[in-house]
Amino acid sequence: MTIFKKIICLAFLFSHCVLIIIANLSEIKGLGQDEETIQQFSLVGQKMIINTKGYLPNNPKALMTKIYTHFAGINTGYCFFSPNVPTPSKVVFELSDSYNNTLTQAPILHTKAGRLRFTVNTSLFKSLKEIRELLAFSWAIRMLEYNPDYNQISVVVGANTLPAIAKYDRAVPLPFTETERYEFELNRE
Amino acid sequence: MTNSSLTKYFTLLDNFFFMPVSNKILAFFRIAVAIFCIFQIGSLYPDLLNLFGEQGFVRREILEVLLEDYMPRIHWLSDQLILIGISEVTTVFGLFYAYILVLGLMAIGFKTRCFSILAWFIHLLFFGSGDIFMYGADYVTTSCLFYCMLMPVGNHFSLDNLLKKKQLNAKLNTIFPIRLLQFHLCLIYFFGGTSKMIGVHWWNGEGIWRAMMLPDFYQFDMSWLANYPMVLMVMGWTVLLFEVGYPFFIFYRKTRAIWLFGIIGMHIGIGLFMGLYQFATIMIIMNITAFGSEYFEKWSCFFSELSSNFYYKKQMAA
Repeated sequence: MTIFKKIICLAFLFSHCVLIIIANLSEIKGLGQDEETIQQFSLVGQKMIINTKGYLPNNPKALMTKIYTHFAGINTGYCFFSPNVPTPSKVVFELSDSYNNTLTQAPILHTKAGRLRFTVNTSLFKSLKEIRELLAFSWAIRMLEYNPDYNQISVVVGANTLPAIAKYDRAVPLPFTETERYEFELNRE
Repeated sequence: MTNSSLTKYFTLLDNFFFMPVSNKILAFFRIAVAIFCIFQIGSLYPDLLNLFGEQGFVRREILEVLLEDYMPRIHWLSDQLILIGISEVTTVFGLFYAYILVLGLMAIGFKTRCFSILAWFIHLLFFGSGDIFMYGADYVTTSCLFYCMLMPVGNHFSLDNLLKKKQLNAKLNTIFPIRLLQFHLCLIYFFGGTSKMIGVHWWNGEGIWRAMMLPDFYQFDMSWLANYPMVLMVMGWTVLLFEVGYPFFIFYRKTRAIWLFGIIGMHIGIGLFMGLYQFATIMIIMNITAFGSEYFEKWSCFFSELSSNFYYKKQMAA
């Protein structure tokens, strides 16, 4: 390998790693901007985040960098389950027909992998403020396609709250807390 | 600093990044990633339209709002094919079978570079269309396919090699691709661990508790662990130690095996107890490729000796 090729390789490695580091720092910065998440930090962690927030970088805005990071799969950080394992949101659909027959269903997905991906989708729901209703509408249409006899649907978004270790009681099922509800009606004519 | 010490450092650096190696492990990487991707997309087959179709759970109109213009998606293809009478549903399923075929060819190492590029692009088409459903495993898979495209993954155990009259010179391979993977993994674990460390829940055991008990991850009844909070706490500390310590201890020969098998063990745990088996598998593949090459070489020597012994005995018997 020539020296020139070696320099190119090292430059590539360096810039690739820098982009990964930026994506991660930017994600940590994002964690520090959410009030709910910051409560889960330790006192030292909170101080650290507050003091360094101003110095942490944002994800690059240049188009070429954005394209590269997307193509290389490094456009997101690796703060999986940080600072805590999040409570995944849950969606339930309440369908009813013109005779007031009702049916409660979870999203119809045929595979375990599909259901897991829908959970990711539901968890993202919280962060997509502007299009939440549209997304709920989109889910509702799919569910009405699966259930053609029904024309009204409520999309109920919530979460099963898991108590802390010390407060956990096997006999008590996990409570479901509803956070949002969207109602749609379909005129099949 | 004298000239000789500078030269010494440059030689060390040169050896660290460009030492000639056989890179047989990259063949394992290619085959494992291809098989993993077949398994990954295959596991979604009944839900292809629900996740990636225009009429799926996330309608095209919404997806268009979420995606940036440069992000590849199936609609690019289906919009063209619909002009010649091929429906969007046919395009999705056609692409599924094309992806399986391309991955199969990549696994056997036929026109490896070409099919690695195609596999990466089809992966981007699928997971761009289902962007909102993507999670950690998909991002890591994108990186792995990206590396397959750039690295000399077809130099060993490939049809390309078999078809060539002259075998590729092993000295042409350097350790650089492996170093790239190693650095990537170190960053993954370092940031994964550090961001957990600034919270309280991975210190007091709640993180492990939630990972095993939240309904979406729940696989086995582990509620009995509530009686042993100390066990959960120690498990949480172990995760932090292995993740944050990864970049430091994995490069040190004496602790490498402990860290490698510890991290693989952690991923097996994630697969078993959280049901995130796809994420676990792709991370194990990356770890074995990046730091398991010495063990891989030993085993491959062992198996080749075994097969040559077998061949020799057969010859003698004849």
